[in-house]
Amino acid sequence: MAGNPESGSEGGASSAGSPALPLASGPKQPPPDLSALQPGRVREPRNWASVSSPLYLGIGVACAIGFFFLLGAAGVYSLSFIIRTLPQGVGPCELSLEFTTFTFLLGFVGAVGLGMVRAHPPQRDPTASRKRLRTRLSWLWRWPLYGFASGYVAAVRGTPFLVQLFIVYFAIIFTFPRFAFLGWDAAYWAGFFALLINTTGYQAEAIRGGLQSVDVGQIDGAKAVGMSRLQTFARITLPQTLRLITLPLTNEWISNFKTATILSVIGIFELFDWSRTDIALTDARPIEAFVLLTIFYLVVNVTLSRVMTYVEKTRRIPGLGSPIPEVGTSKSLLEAGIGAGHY
Amino acid sequence: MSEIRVRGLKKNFGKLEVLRGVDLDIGSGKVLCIVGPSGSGKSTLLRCINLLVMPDEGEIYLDSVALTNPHLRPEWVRQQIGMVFQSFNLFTHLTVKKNVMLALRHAKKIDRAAAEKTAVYQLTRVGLADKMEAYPAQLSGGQQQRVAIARALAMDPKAMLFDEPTSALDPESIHEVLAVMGRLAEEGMTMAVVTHEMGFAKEVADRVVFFDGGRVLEEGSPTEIFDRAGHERTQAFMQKILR
Amino acid sequence: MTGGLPPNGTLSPASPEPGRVTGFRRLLTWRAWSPVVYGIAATVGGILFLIELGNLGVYRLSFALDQVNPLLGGFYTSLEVVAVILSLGFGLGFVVGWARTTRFLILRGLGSVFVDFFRSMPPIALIVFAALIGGIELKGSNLNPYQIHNITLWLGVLVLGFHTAAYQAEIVRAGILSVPAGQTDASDAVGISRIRSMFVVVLPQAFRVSLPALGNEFSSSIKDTSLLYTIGWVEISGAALIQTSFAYTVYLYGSLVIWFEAAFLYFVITYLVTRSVRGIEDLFKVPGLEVAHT
Repeated sequence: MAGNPESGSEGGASSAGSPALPLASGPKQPPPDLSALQPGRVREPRNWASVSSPLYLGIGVACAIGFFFLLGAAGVYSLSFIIRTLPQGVGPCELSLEFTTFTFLLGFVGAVGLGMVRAHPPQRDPTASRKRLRTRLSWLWRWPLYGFASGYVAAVRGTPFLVQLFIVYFAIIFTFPRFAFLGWDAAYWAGFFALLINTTGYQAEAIRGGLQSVDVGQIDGAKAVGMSRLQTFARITLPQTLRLITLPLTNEWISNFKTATILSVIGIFELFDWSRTDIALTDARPIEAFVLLTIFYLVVNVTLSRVMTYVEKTRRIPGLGSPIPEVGTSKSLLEAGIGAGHY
Repeated sequence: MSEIRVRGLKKNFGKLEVLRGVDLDIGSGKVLCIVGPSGSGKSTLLRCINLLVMPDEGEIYLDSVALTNPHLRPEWVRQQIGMVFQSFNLFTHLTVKKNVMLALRHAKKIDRAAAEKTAVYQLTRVGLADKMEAYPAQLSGGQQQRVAIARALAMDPKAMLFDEPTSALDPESIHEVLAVMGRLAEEGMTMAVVTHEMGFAKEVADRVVFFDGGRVLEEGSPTEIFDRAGHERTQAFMQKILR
Repeated sequence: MTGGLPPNGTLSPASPEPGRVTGFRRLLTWRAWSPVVYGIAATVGGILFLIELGNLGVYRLSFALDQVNPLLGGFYTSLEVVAVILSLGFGLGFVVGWARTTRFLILRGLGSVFVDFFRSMPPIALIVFAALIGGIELKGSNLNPYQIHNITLWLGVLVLGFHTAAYQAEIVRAGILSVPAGQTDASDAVGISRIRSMFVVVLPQAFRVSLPALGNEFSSSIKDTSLLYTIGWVEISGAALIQTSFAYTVYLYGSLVIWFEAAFLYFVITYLVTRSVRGIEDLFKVPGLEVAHT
């Protein structure tokens, strides 16, 4: 990528004499040359399996497919059986994806609220006597709200999903044993609800990390030009947060997708249950079952994470975010436990 | 342009007394330079003036308006007094022109065309007419700081505060920023500048204040402070800085 | 309060500086007590509160207390499994993570395959299939069924170890890459060999940086051990499920009580582990470069 001819330091002589760009020119900048912006950047080995270039990615995929056929030919498993049964998995896979995506989207809504509450812990204000009464009384509702949000997040993140699932399942089963809605019975809705609670908690932490990672100097700058707190939030904090949390939230979706397999223990017939029940037990072909499962999961997860890493690396605003997304996770995102490379 | 008066300003951060009773006067159209050792509270003083930090005690007057009045909207105060930071604090996700236009459109509610005209005017004034569609990270330090100055000037403030504007710049860029600030002073802007650039202070400042330990130790004209300082701490500081 | 006591420093002739508070008094006023004291007070207070709720009839206290012993049995098993998995995970994770930062393509490639595979697969599938396939392969050998069952149990644990190793490999790799290249330059400049500088310059810094993320991964892996019941382990979830199977014939919402207690036990393990990691972080702390914790 050639460097943008206008970028880089040119000292003080570039001002009045140089030809002016037409002011109405299109706003799109070409993707910047990232290497110029990071003096002293750490060595990054050219990793064939990371997505530095589509060529390496293509080679990786070809190797994987070749390996798959090789093992099949060697007799470890039966290729024809796998190819025949692959379409059977599409239904359960759809169910898994439904569970994952709907809980993720709904969870995002709640997580935004929780994240915002968690991002601003109420603090003692020594200058309170100089502020209006309405501001001084805000601690009355802010403390309980923050306590609730923190407790919720700690409970969800500190306990295994299995335990959460059983708690929700038993609670719903005993209270509404014959509940049915939109073709799903009580067990399915219990699983949905449990997954929803789980993903809301994790997404809330990612969002909180993103909110707290926005450079405080920019908030100062916005305040200094007289923008109100709401405007600062909407115009400065929020756009930058959304960019910062794209990769962590993708990882959270992938994590959600994997967590959905645990729903099989209460009888939900999703991808893992299909592979275990139908193939491994009924058809007595556990190795083929595992390979089938691997195909589904690798295709979805690896593709998604590679695509997002690629998108994140090439379409970033220059100067925003860390130089190596997997490495330089900001402190707050690290506390949230969701670094960019971690799912 | 307006005059700023500070009376009895005090600020503590926890147990740390940062400002211990500061009295200051900046006359209309005058330039005040604040010098002193690191950690003496100079930045906090500036941040109190435009209410980025709320003082514990004391009053600040802009012309005849008491800025510490709790019924006054801080946003309004900050639109009257512009501030330029040591670390520029430009909005990294916006182009240079949008950086300047943002507050005009959203804080002052000016429509897009007029905001754009003002932005173009201010950016030309600081000499960056050809960089309007660039992103801050693509500019040098001096250019970024000039954008920050343009952003503050676009609000048409009655006074400007500069918090060590050149401390984060390389030597070549320092000159371009000081030139802009000097021109501003000539045009009659009321300015308070915290700086280590003694040359700038000698040439441009009307009054200089030596600030240490949260208070004003000495005050006077540039020649009085730099060449004939009375207080021994002032003399010691000047000996270290001016060589 | 000081009236009557001899001046500081004269109480014990061996004290190094005058004015230093000595012995027992120092122990009483030690600053580090307060988090411990508050922690214990909060836990005891919380437990008393729950017991009081039980006395008031919110739930059946006697039933809840009956569950404690069986669950504790599972608790000790969990501890055992967690210890194995965390050690295996860290050891293997460190090796793989390091391999991914070397300049040998083959090492990086293999490492990437390992990491991608074990991060994409859900742990429950890994556990169940490892045990199933392992069991089937072992049928042909001359081990008795009891031994086979034992081996499959530990196969499940092994595979969980690999799973967490993959995550830890990424964390270790990120830590190593985050040490600025200038550090290696500087150690080159004073004549330290590349290999040695890896051990004395890069790794200490990388380790310090990765500790918080590692602690997080440890707690995540503890939660994954809850899935081991599917292949026959009687750890906390296994014990809880056994109890649940007779619980609702006795008391309808008893299963909720059981699972809340199980959640609490998992909390305890997670707390122990994260606290230890924070203790290690303190050991490696460099003043001025600390990471704040929520």
